[in-house]
Parts: sequence; C-alpha cells; structure tokens
Amino acid sequence: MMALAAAVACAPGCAATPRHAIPIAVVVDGDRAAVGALPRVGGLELHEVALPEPPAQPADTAAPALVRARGAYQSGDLDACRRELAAVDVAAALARGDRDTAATALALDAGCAWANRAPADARADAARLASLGLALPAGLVPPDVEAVIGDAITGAGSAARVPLAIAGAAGARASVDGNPPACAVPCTLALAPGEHVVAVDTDGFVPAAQTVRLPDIAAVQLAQQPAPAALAAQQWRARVARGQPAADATGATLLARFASAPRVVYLHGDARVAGELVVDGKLVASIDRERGDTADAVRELAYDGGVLHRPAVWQRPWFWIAVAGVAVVAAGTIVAVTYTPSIRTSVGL
Amino acid sequence: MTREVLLAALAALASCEVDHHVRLLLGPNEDTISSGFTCHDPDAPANLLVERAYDPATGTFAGTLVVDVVDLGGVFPSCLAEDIEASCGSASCQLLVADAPTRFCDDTLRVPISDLADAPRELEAYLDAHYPTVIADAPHRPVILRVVITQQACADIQVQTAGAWAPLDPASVLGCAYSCPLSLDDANGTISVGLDTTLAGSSATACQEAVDVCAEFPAKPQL
Repeated sequence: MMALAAAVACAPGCAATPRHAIPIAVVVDGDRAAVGALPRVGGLELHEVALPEPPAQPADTAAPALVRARGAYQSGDLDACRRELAAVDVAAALARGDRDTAATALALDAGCAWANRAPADARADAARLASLGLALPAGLVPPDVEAVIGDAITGAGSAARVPLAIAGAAGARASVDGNPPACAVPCTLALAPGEHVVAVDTDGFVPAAQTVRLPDIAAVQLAQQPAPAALAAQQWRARVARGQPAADATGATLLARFASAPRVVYLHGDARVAGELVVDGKLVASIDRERGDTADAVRELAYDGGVLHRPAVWQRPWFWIAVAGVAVVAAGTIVAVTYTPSIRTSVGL
Repeated sequence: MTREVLLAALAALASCEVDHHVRLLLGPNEDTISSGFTCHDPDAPANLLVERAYDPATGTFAGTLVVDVVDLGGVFPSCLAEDIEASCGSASCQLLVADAPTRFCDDTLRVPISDLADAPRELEAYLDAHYPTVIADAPHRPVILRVVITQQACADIQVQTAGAWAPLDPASVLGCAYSCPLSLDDANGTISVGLDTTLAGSSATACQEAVDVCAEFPAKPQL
C-alpha cells in the first residue's frame, strides 16, 4: 500500500525541481497540431518564439536608373546618362551576383563617355568591364565603343593571372565578380589584373564584399559581422527549406541567434514530434515522440541536455508502481502458498 | 467502491472455512450392523444384549446414546488393536476434556421395536434418522470415534474427573463400536465403526467382554 501511495504521489515526478524556473525559448515548426499548445513542465518556463517574417527586399534602384540612362543616351543627353549611371553601384550589384546590371551599367557608361568625348573614361569603363569578366551586352553601344570594350576584354584575357588570397570566416563561400562561389574561405584564387569584387557569404553572418585591385594587393581579409536576429531567422528558414538539418552546428547557432536565448527547444510537428535542444548555440539533445506527446518530449530534452536533473530511479513513478506490483505478487504468492483454511468437521450418525 | 470490494475480499479470505461432515456407519456397510451391537446376553443367551433395555409394555427400546472422541495424544497408530494398545499404553489416549471437549450423550433414546430379533437394525435405522449431528466441531488431532449404547444416565456420564470424561460403566453397556484412528480434518464422508468380537470368541460372554472393553477404553488399555 505504501508503494502504491508513493507511486501516486510521484506520478508527476519526484525529482527536485529548481528553485527558479529555467527559461527556455521554444521554436515550433511544421504541423502545429502535432505539437499542440506549449505544455507545462516542472522547473521550466517555456515561451514560444515566432519566426520573424523575411525582411522586405530593398527597392531595385539600379534597373530604373539603367532605363533612364539608356533613354538619355538615345536622346543625346549624355550628361544625364552618366549622371544616372553614376548612381548605379556596380560593386553592390556584383556582390549580390547581378552581373547583367553591372555589365549594362559599365558598357552604357562607356558609350555615353565615348559619345561625350571622354574616351579615357570610356576606356576605363571598358577595362573595368573586362577585368570583372563581364560580357558585353549585345546592341547596347555602337560598334566603335564595342571595339574599345573588345580590345579591353582581349587585353584582360591575355594578361597573366595574379593570385589573391581571401581570408575571413572559416568555411564562408567566396565568390568573385558576381560569379557563383569559387571556393571556401580561406582560399587563394588566380585572377586577371584589374578591379574585382570579392564577396563572402555564410550562414550566421552578414554577407560582406570588398572591391580590390590586382596586382596592387595579394590578399584580402573580409570581416563578417554576426547576423542579426532577422537575418539569422531568414538564413535558418532558408537552410530548412533546402533540406538541411534544423539544428546542426550552423542551424543551432542560427536558432540561438534569432531566439535571442541561451536555451532553445526546436519542435517540428509531423507524423511524430521531433525535438532538439540547443544550449549556448550547440545542439545538446534530440528526441522523437508521438504526436501530442510534447510535454514528455520537452522534459526528456531537458533531462538529456542537462538543463534539469534526471530523477533517480527511485524518484520515478514507474519504479514505485513496479515495486507495488512486485509486492502485491509476492504477498499473493505467500498467501497462496501458506494459507490454510480452517477446517470444521461435524460428525453424525 | 474499490475499497469496499477489497475489504470484502479480505474478510472472505479471513473467514474462509472448509466444512466437512463425517457420517458414522454402525457397521462395515449400509446393510450390516456391527457385531458390537448384536451380542447375545450371557445371562439369557437366547436374547440380544440390547433387549435388556426393551420394555415389552411399550414395545420400545429405552437407552442412552454416547458418542466419544478419544484423543490419541498426537500419535497415529494403525487400526490394529495391538497397535492402538501399544500407542495408548503410556496412557496418552484419554477422553481429555481439553482436547476432546465434546461427549455426546442422549438418554432420551426411545426406539419403537417391531421385531425383537431385528432390534439392532431397527435401532440403527432410528439412530441414522434422528442423529444427523452429534459433534459439531471435531478436534484437529488424531482421534478414535466411539459409539456406545448404554443404560447409564447422562448425568452419570457427563462428569469430568481430573480433566477427563468419566469412564463408562461396563455393567450398563449394551453395545459398543469404534473407528480406526483418523484425523477428522482429512475425513469427509462415511466412516465405519465396528468391534472385532469374533476374535475374542463366539460365545455371548466373549462378545459382551469385548463390548465392555470397548466401553471402558481408554481406562483399560486393551480393546
């Protein structure tokens, strides 16, 4: 009976709970119905963190400027043409991989400069376009300008390559002149002499880019700032969408970053509920449970991750239930073996 | 609700009792009466001993029925008289009040007899019909059951002397039979009582002497 009473008393767990509840951020993903409402778990203070919406894309100012510049060029307003093109950030376009915009801006500026009797500027644009490895947009500028650009491209193609060492956040993807990533930092690339835009990008950091001129420098250090919460959430969401683990080393870092909490539980609802606990940006525990069994999932994650002390065997309700069962069976066996009913015998004739 | 069921189960377990009933058969089978009740009277060899208690005026037998439980002192001899004598030789066999507090006695026995020659059988039939229970709760030790028909009054029989029932008066005994040693806890059904009168001889005297020894037991350690 005592064992049964202990089992009932220990039903929610007999382990000592911390004096103050430990705050844990919870990120819920997937089928919300499988996870349900946030459970109450002794010793933990759960609060859900919503995934921030992706930030709005900045307005594209380059394309309208190119349209206006082209109109000015065609109408002969060459100053206006160059003024519009000056507002186009070629390096930024290359950093985000928009090589067409960069090529159009440089070729058009070369055309405007050539027509405006500034051949030096036109040749500079041509040399820049050539060193960046951009293709000449067809039909954009007259043949004489095309010839200038073609000469520059030929010259750049025949020039000896110069090595450029790129350093920064280890593992970051490095790309040059808006091309697809060429290597993982740290790495060294052989590039044509002239201007180049080196960009690095990796999850957990803000992308960085720098314009360099070869062979003036042989190495470039691209420092990346840690991604703010909104960017971290965007990168984490993109990783999950690509099928990458939600809480691997990078995913865990992103979770901690956008949840802005040292302890984060990530719950993904599906046919079952998958849970992962991230502490200080590192994955420390994973679990898989039936749909709706969220409280147990969170509690086990806390135990496995060391956030809560797992109760000793004798502090668990099932221990006492088992003890009670064994005691009942033992008592029943003893009674069955040793019990002798009293016999009352009457005698008659 | 659960608690009530549990308590009821525990109460039933605690009060669990097995009831046995033993019927004493006055002979080896239903059709044969023990020779302990069919001795002839040595003083009138033509008559049965039980006829001493027959009243021709009323045509009834008037006597006393005594059923004793003889405690064997914890030993368990076989049914042989010699074995019983050996086991009881140390006077361990007694009609101890403490061990066998029940001595059944009924001196109001009045049995109509229609045929004197068949008086023992009619007497047996009457006893069968009127004494379904003579001992309500038998002791849990090895015992011998004894059935005696006598002319003594119960007032003389149900007397305790030094913690034991008073021995029966052989001069008043009309018939006697006893069972083999048995443990009544293990018994259930019919048990025969009898008396080996034929071993003592075929005469009425020998038969009566055997009945006397039976009735005196365990005062005399030989049956």
